[in-house]
Amino acid sequence: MKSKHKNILIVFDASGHTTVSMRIATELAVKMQAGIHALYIEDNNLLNAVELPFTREVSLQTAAKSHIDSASMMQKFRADAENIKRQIEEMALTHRVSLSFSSMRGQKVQVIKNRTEEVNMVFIPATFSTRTGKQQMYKRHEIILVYEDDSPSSQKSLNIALSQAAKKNYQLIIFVNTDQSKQHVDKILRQKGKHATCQVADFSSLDEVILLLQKHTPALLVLPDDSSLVQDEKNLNKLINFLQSDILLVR
Amino acid sequence: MKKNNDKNSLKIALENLYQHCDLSHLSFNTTADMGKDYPHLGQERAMDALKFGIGMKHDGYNLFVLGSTGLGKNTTVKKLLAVESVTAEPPSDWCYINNFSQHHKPLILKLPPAYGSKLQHDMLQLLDDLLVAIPAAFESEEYRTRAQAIDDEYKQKEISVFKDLSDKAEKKNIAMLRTPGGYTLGPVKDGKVLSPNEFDKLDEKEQEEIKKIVDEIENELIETIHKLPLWYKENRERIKQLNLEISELAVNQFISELAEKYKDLPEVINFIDTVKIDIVENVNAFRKYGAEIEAGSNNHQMILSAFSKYQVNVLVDNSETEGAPVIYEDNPTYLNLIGRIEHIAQYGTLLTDFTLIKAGALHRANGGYLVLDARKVLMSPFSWEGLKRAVHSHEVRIESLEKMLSLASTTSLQPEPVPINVKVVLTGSRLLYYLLKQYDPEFGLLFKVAADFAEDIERNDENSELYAQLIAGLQKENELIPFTKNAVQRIIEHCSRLLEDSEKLSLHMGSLLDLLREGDYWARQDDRQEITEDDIQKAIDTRRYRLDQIRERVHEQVIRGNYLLDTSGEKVAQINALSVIQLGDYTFGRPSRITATARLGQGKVIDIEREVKLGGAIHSKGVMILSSYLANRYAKDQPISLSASLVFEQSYGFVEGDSASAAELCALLSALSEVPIKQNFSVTGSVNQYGEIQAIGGVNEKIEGFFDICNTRGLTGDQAVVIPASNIKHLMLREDVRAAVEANRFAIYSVQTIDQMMELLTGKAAGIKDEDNHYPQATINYRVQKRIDQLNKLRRSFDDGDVKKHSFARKNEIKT
Repeated sequence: MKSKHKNILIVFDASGHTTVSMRIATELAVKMQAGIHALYIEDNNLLNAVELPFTREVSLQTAAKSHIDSASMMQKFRADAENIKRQIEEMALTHRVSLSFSSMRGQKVQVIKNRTEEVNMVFIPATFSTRTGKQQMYKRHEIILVYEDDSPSSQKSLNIALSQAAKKNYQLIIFVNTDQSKQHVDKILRQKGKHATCQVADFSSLDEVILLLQKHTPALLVLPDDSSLVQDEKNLNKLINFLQSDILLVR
Repeated sequence: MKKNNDKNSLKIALENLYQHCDLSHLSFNTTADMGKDYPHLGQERAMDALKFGIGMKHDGYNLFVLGSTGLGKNTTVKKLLAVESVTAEPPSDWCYINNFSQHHKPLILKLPPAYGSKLQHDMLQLLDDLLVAIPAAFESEEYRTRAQAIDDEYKQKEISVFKDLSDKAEKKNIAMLRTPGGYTLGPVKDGKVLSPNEFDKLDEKEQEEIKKIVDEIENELIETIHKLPLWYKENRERIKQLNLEISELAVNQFISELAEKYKDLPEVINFIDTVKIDIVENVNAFRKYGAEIEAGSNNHQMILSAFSKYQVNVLVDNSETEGAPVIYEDNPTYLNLIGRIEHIAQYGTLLTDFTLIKAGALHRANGGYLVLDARKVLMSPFSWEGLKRAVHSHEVRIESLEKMLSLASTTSLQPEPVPINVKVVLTGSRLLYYLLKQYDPEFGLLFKVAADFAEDIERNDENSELYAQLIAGLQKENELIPFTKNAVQRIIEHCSRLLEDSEKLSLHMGSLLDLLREGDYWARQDDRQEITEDDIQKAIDTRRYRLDQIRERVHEQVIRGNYLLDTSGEKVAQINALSVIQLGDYTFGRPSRITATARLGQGKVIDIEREVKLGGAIHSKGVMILSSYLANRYAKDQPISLSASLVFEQSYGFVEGDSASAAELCALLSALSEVPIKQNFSVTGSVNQYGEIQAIGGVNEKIEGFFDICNTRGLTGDQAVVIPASNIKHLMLREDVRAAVEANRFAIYSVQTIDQMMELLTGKAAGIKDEDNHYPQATINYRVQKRIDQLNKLRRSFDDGDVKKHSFARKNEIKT
């Protein structure tokens, strides 16, 4: 569905989220004068896995192993979704942002890919593969933008990244893949009178880029939706699962 | 009857009614001519005791200054202590500081004088400096870089271990999937986790292989998760070490400056070291509040209060004390003496810390002197016990009353006791001193020196001269206008009158000073530059007038005939006795009628006042002496068969004292002898078992009381007062009374025996026993003896049942 109004899609799943992410998304919506559609994804893979007779859940807090079935996983999904809904509704009400909420079954990356077309931005709140990820998140003061070419979505991404960095007084780091792009970005920065660190990185090895990003683990990673980094579902999945940063895909 | 010459010999000469003061041999005209220094007149004993007590440094040599109120005890003590204390070294400052190991037990810090406030200021300055320096150190590029490096290292380690495991699983076609609570593993084919149906379609071997791999990865996952807390702890330790290093760098420069300043005071150095350790350990608070200050928070006070544990509570500041402190605590409540722990209300809860500990008088007087009113100490609950405990143990332990009484069980502060070295000076009445001595066993151990202030001194030329110097000194000290010599003489005379003794001078400084001030007032009213004798007289008269209303009312009642009192004629068994009424510090005389009845009985004199419980013990004793007197004099060898009743007519209040016992005996003797008593006389004096008349108090007021009645009714010349001879020296009578005596319109007699008194009152001879042990006929004693003998016979006849016969006989006897 494509709306006349600007829309931000926020995608949640069972990976665990923070209200910080929700606030960033909501503030972004205010800034962009956009509405929010929050989507909770009940991961098909996870449901398939728990239906297998030998599947167990290993607790991230206690390392305890316990049997799990689809019924209890559905219950967990519902409770998780309800909790997220309540939190984001509260946030939207405070910021006076229009909000819709829905749940669907599917695979997260596929859903994101499918729905990107319909919205202006996709906001993927940080997920935490580790137990201390949430604590670390509060300390971050960086925004990273991956800027590969001069496409409209890249330009939009740059504008959004600059505005978010200025608003939060965060350091903005821009990764470009060529010297030419770096010169171009520097020029734009000078024109706009903004400050950011622009670094050239090798985008050919996606694993290297992901490692570089993981080293920084920024508060927000801004990516144009046509970035080569997110074309491969596998890579996007890795980014989402192991970066522990909020990710904003901009069209 | 004795001759008139004898009667005149009992009359007191005019010159004995008043002792004038003569200072004509002194050269001054007014007190302005005299010096301002005055002696501690008559207080040599007390002064010696005070000097001894102050000089004695051993335990228990605290002082109790005893004497009645107004003797100038406090003034004398104050002057003496001011002199003694000035040469002493100023005592130490005392501060409470936080106990960093046990916060509820603040520590005491002893510092040289003036160092308390310095240290307090320096600690506040340190806080101010650190609130800027510490956040700045943590904002530095160096710190950020190093902290980031540690965090990154940990982060990478944590992420990579999960990623590696995920990659390993993926290689074995197993997906590591996040659930809301952790991870689960599932077999993957073409990027999708196999459904149960798809899994069932696999052959058994494949299924077992998958299960095995899942088990392996699960175990690795568990192992990894187990490692996380250790890694996290390790990371926190490294960050903590870094923080410690950075904090020490920031704190050290300021602490070093402070330590250098107080290098000669090991206890302060110790405190500073402890503070340093605590600051370094709690550096995050400085970072937080420092950031607030930087952000423009104007609640600086609130921020400082968050760091109160580093502050210094100066309990006693002797920075401006010269010599040893001399503390006068006017309100010696337990808390004012021992100190208190105050609380502040915060969100409905009462909170406290060591900065809210307040000093008591004992703390302030440490190293010096503490002067207290003993009565006030005893009247304030727990003060006496608290004071004794502190003096005995040489330390002040601040303990809240509610805790001491187990009324509150909440945790409160237990400040370290303050060692004390205080000389306590209690001032109080003589009664209080002896009561404490009697009933408090600790009192004698703790207050070994009694400074007993004299109430009076002998009135002689030398002392009168010293008294004049005292008046001159007080005049100058109190900035009064000068007193003329006549005024000084009049003051000295009045001071004798105050004591009811013409041979003594009162040392009651309070009364003297009041008189001087009031004389000054009246002189100033008339715009005079000198205070004259008239001003002093006016001061005396107006003071009496202000208090005289009750006396006037009583006097009026007598004049109007409501109180029956004859001042002329004769009556059997009726006599005018003199009593005094004391209203506060004002005393006036009031003549009262006493009547007596005598009848057959069993030798008992009934005191009606006592029977109705309106008579005091001393009064009752006086009346009982009368029975003894009668038995001893008239019925030595036989039981006395007499019943007599005595009553103060129209007395509706409490009667105390034995000064009416002579009058009561006279009335009784008149009743027995049926010889009438002259009502123009009024008598006072106590009597013993042998009929000797003894001295009484208030003689001047008593005489003046009867004089005033007679004067109002009209002086006839035969109206008189009879007083004990031993009271002559107490006479300091009013001028109008003296004038009436001089003009023979009023008289004052002195007697030594009851016989002399009866002869004056009846005009008949008392009678002395002859060789045959008989009183001469027609004398008073003869008639009394006769009547008692008759009563004895009558009593015996009652016992024999022959009443009529003896009744008849008595009638005949009386006629003879």
